[in-house]
Amino acid sequence: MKLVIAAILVATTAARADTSQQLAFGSSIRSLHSDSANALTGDSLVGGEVAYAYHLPFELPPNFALWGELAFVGSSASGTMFGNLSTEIALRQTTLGAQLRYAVMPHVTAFARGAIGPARDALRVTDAAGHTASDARWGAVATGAIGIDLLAVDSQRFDIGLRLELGYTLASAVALSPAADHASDDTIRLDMQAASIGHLDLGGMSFGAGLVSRF
Amino acid sequence: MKTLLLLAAATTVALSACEDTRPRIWDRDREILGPIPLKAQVAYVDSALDRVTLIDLVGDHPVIHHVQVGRRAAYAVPSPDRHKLFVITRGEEAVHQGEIDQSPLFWVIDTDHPDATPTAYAIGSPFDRVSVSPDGQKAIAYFSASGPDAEGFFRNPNELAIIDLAAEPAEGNPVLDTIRSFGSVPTGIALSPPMSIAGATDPDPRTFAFILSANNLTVLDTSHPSRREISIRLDLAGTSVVPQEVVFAPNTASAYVRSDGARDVLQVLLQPDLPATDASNDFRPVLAELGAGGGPTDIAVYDDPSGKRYLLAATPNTHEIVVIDADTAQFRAIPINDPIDRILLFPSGEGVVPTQALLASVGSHLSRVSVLDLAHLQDPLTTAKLDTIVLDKPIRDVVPVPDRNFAMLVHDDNRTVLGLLDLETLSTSPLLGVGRLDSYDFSPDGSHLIGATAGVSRVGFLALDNLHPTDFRLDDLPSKVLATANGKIFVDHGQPFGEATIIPSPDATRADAIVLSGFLTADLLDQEH
Repeated sequence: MKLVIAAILVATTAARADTSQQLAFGSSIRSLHSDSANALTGDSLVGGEVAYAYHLPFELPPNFALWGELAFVGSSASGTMFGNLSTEIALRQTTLGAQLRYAVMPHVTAFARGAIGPARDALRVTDAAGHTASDARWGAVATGAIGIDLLAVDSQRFDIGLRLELGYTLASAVALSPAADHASDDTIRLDMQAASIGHLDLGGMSFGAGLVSRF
Repeated sequence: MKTLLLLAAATTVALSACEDTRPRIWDRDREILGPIPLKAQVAYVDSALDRVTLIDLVGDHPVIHHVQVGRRAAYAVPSPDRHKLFVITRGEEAVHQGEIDQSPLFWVIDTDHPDATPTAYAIGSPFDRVSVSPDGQKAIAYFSASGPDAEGFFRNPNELAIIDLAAEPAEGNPVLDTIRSFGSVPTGIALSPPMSIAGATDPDPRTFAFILSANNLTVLDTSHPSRREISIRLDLAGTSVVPQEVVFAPNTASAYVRSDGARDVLQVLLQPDLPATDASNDFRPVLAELGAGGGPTDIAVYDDPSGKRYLLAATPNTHEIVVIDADTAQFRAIPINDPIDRILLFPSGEGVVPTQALLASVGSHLSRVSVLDLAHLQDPLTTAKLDTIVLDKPIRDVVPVPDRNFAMLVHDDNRTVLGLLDLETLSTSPLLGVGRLDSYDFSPDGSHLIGATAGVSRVGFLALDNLHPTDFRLDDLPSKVLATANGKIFVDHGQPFGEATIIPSPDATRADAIVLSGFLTADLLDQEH
């Protein structure tokens, strides 16, 4: 194991003397403003994000850099309909995209990023008696964001700091058909025809804050 | 400095994006009316989403239709033929953003054509009860004794909305009217089948409303609703009289009224009268007290094979069953020791001539019933044939099986001990269940009793031909079981997002059945608000 880690470090160092990899994690809040999301909750999606980026070897003007990025977002929101139906929305989103960075001054870097990828929207509805119905389906998202990294440590080989970003997510409206939940045993059940509750659109404006480090 | 400005701008945008823009509809109180069995559908009315959900059970797979109605549905009732659904919506006062001003409306939904726009009649007041004439052509909306809710400044409990369902909504349809009151409020309204009054200015068949209230009976001509109603005081003898039940004899333009506190059955015969003005009635009620004589507790009316109408009245105070010729008021009293308070006629059904009357003492919880042979009963020279059947247990209720010569006997308040009475053989068979029969129905052809218990995930079937019991395992606990006219069995599981098991027939296997889930929240996210 030590050998593997040493090999990675050597390879990374050999590839570039500068930082070439980036790891960011933090929390985000996405405001839900579609009619479908408003039906389920008045709250925003709140969750966390982990992103890994790699410096792409493209020649760009001074102070600019292009990074490829893989990000994973997990967030959720809960709400109430009609005073007696509890709703829970859960989102799992994986995106692949690019990040354009501009070094404004030492310790401050502005960036813009865009990404696309699949997203899994899950919905669970619970009534006052504890009956639940749920469904989860895959859709697609496209995200765009601008932000700044405020770096506490900013050196050639390592930096770390606070990331703030403002973004917008376009999400495909996913058709959901929640069906009554049952214990997962081997009981033979009747054929079920689940009516679609409609299309859930979890797109909206988002705000994120977290830590970012390059090495 | 630039960085701080950028941060401030981002925070402002983020906060404005998080502002709550959720429409108020999602926070409204929700009441689901239903399931309401229709001809081949089952209906639910959603008071928050302002829509009727119709589950069409004609095909192999259920089809869901939605019909939008007004704000805050309060009451729903099917038409007598179950092809239409009538819904009263309370309306709304626009106080908050997203609310609208809408007056109370009476909706007519053609369930055979759910895509058609429903008809809405402005009824002016938030009535919470509806009576519909047997031919489905007239309806009267009125207030229940307690009223719909505490909203509103004034409420006039004697106000009615008389609706001509055969005509489009217009000025003068519905007609709002307040009946004269002598201190009481309507407890029920019975609408007659179309009745012609021979010799009246208007010879056409028309529907008369009999409005029941304590010590008072009001007769209203719904074809001429602007004419003054006729009030009949029932308490002139000094005792309080509360009308309970009305049966009609349309061939003779008469009605028979049974009242608590009255000694006799009141016959109200509508006879022609010369109207003094255009606003006057062309009829007048002629009253006769038919010789029940002992405070009737139940009445039933039937036509013999020749079309002659008879009235059966149970008078426990005199220990008699009184058979009254509705045309001549001649009567015949048949002695019976038991205090009879329930009369059921067999066989039943439209156009069927009953041949037997089942007489039961439900209130006294007696362990016997009697069967009166109606054939030749009108002949005073024949002896009335009255058979008494002794039961194992006292009875609490008697329910007729549709289109069959059976009656279900309920022996306890929890409906755990039942019996089936065969009117042909005059025999009874015990029915043993696993628990309380919380919901039951009969298949439309009367071949099966279908029952469910709230705590047991099963539906029970009892073949009434041979009393063979079977049951059907459900995936969830049942809330209500009902049979539609096309023979499908619909088991509602009582969940607010809608879950029901649909069984094609009593003989179907689990492979034939299907669970329909989410019908009460169907397409909810696609609504625009």
